Amino acid sequence: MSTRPNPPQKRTSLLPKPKLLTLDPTVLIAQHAHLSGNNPITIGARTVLHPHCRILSGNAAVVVGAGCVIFERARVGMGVGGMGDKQGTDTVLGKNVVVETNGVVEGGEVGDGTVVGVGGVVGRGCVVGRYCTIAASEILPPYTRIPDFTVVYGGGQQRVDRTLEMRPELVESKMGLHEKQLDMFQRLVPNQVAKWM
Amino acid sequence: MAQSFPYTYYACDCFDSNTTTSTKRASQVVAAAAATEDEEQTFDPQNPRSNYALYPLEHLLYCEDCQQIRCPRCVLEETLNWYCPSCLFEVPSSVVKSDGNRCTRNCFNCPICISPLVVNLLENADADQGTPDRHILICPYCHWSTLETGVEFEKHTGVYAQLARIANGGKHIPTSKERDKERERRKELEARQRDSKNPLSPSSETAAVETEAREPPSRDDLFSNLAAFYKSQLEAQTPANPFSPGEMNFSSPSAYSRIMNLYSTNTAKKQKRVKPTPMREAASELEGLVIYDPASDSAAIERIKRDGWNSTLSPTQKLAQTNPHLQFADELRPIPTLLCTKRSKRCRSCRHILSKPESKITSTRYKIKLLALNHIPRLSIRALPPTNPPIPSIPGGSTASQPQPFNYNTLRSGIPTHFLLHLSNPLFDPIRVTLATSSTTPGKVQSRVTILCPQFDVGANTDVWDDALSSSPAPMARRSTINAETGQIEAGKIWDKGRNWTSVAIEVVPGFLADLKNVSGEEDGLDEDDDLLEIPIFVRLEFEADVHAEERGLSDSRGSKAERESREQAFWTVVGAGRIAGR
Amino acid sequence: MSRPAARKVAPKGEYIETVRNLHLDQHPKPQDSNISKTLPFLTTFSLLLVTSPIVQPPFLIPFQDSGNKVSRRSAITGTANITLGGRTVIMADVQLRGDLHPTRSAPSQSGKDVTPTSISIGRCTVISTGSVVKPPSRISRGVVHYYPMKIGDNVFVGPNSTIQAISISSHVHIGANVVVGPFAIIKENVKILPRAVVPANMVIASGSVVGGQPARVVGEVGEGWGVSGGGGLGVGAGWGEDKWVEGGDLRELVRSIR
Repeated sequence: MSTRPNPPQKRTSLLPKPKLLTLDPTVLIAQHAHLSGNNPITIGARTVLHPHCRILSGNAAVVVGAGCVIFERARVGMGVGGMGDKQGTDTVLGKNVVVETNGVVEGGEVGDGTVVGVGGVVGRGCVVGRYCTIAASEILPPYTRIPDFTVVYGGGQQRVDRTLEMRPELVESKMGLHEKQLDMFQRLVPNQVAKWM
Repeated sequence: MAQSFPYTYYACDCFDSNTTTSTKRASQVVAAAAATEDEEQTFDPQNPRSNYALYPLEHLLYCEDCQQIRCPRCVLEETLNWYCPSCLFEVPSSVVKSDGNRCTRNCFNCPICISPLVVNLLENADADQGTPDRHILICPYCHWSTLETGVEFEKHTGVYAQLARIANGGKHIPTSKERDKERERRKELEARQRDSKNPLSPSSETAAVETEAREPPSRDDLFSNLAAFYKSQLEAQTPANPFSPGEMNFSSPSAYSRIMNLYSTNTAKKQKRVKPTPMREAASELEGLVIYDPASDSAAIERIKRDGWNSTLSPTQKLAQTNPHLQFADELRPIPTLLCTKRSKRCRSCRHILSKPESKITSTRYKIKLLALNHIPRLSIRALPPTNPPIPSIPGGSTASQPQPFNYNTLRSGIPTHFLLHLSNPLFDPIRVTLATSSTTPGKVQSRVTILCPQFDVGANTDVWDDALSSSPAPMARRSTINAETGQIEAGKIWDKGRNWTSVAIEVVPGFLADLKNVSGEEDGLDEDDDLLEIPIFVRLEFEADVHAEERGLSDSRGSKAERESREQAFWTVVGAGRIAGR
Repeated sequence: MSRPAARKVAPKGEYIETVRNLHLDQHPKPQDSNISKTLPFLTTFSLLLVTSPIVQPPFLIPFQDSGNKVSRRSAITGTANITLGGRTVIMADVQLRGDLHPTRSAPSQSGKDVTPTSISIGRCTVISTGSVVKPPSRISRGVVHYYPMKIGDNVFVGPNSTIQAISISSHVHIGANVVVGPFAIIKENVKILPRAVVPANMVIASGSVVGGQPARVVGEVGEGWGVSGGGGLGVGAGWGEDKWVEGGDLRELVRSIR
């Protein structure tokens, strides 16, 4: 995880279009999705950004992998200010990550197939493994490390999702269903990606 | 649950008053005498007992015959019917008796986190080759599934019945008939072995064969063994019972009287005392005896060493299980959903029905519902802002749009703060209200309280339309109690008044939290919630009512004929005005 | 814009009032019909909101009978698929995802275009600031389906809650920051405590109080739930006095919101 020195910044959030935006042509960006910040933002193939979600690279770069879904009002990355620190942490979402409504990923790494539930918060510098679930309203404090297949639930308790761990075919089918969900969004949500290209 | 300020609780005095019990025991009489001495004492909301006396108004009922508030502690509940809260199916009481108070359909709760489980179809890759579908129960919240304990189902319905036949790991659970057969078989085997080998060596050999062949009996096995053993014992005891030869069971009255005979040593039934010979206790595994095996403990310890604490269960998880002696996560069983009941409520002293819901599960209506809030005034408290702007309040979430919402969580010590007490009258008669409180609140943090107008009238409740129609004439002089020159609130005058409500001002000087720390000398003299500003207020009502209150609906129209009597009602309330800010 | 009939002038008001029982938008062009886009200055508003919460200026417009009140600063997509029962309030920053609508019949019979309903909300229901209402979806036999969700009358949804229930019956009070998972069924007279997380597919029987993460039934509402007591608390009780009770008739609350 590399942190890079930030260039001197203005109020980047008022600039709707970040300069260093790398979009795969198959990305779906809904109207009112919000991407901003001076650091690079990379968004992988078939990723869906719902209306009023925010991808902020004010402090550090944001990489959203392929097939991710960022729901309404979710926030990925950190904007300027707020934390008061000069150097941010890069945010890296793996493949097929789902950040639900009001979910927050504030820098750090989130592994493939992980779901951040409604209102879930992954604090700064957390490293979340693959196929984890952060249940609704669960908050991971900064710099937490979560191994693969972990479920965080019930006010900070953790357990291993042995069902998925034991049955690789279930993981596969889960990802298959996720693909179908992505197709559905392509059908239902009007794409405004042209605005950002 | 954090209660949001401000709130009002009503005290039910059912513990102190002995009206609910017709026969007084000596201790109660003494208690009653003590209570009358205490009459002058202020109700203390911080008294541990108050937890059981204070209720929000919506939870209180009112007995029209006793003319008293009835709280959940002074009503009798009668179950009307049972239903599953998850599938909302009614369960007949006979089934509740036989199968327990659990849903026997498809409703289960997660043994890990208690969320309702969902039946899921496992992805079937070989569906074309005719492999049947497999289903599992899975928790949508914590993702526990029956796969973790090795249980899969063939059908997505009748899961309870399926689960009753599948043990963890997918093994078959014998039915009670199969158990009986197996037990008979083993008994015969044992008997034969005893016959053949008894004269020779002690049964070390057979025991070895036994233990290696089978794993320790399950809890269900032991139970059925023990039950069968006791049954056979009872049959042996009372062979000549003419009424129910085969139907002897534990709950039968004769079994009960037999047990009573065992324990009642002297007195009565001397002729019967000869009859019961002492029963033998279970002596072998087949009879339901469990012998403690230290090996199982060391195995458990080894397992914890190997798998860590994560494989063990929390006390809550254990207690939620039907078998509370489980130790490891792979022994968990889905919890069949507990049933709910619909209940009617009766007054404990006069047995009149106070509330009776319609028995249909889907109906939310009541046949009878005597609510306290239709009989006693609703008292509410609200902060009086320092200035007096006519701002319409926007309750709910939009408080942010209000210019300066009063923060009830940070009352400042020593600064006089004004609140409004608002009393609305649900009765169809005007009432005269007297409010009383002690000058300082009870508890460690003493706040000074002054009710500026302790005695006032509240108008009768009439039809809302009367008010709407008659509102055109100028409303009564409002907010006249602020002295124009000094800006002080005048004492002895009401603050505001409407059709069936009156509000009066109350001045509170929140106490100091800091002083207390110094005085007490302990590391922190304050307990949790000692910084709550809860004001006990005694409310006394006087009003004239028709003699037969319950027929008010009829007599109202021809009120002149009805006989009037003066009534009085008094009760304690506690208003939570806020929390005193710490340093 | 394309909805002159649905709105009753008053361009300065915080709330747009719609005629009762009317679809917010009769023209299924979801990408154009976001209300906040109708007023240019409000778009800048939403951008500003990214960094700092704005204290909203109290624009007031007079109450008109039988109208829904939809905040100009709410974010509604797929308005054609949303029905509001009348006297229902959608506050600022509420998101209604009407665009996630059922698609079962659509591909086969494109000839006659029936707009599917995805969210239907009853009368006198209040959706507070910052809440998200989103229909649930499920994959059955390999196909994704969105299911229409239904919210009854006199339902109060507290601020910043996320609702994905399949059905919420009448007289339900949902506290602040609550998450109601997909396909939950909430029956009449239920109270959901603040910050509760109702797991997916949970059925909450009527008269329950639920709370916790995950939510479980923690009690029952009293017999007096939703009863405001003898003829209301007094009409014209003046400022600062709640004229409504949890689970009760929300008409007075709706009236007080401007």
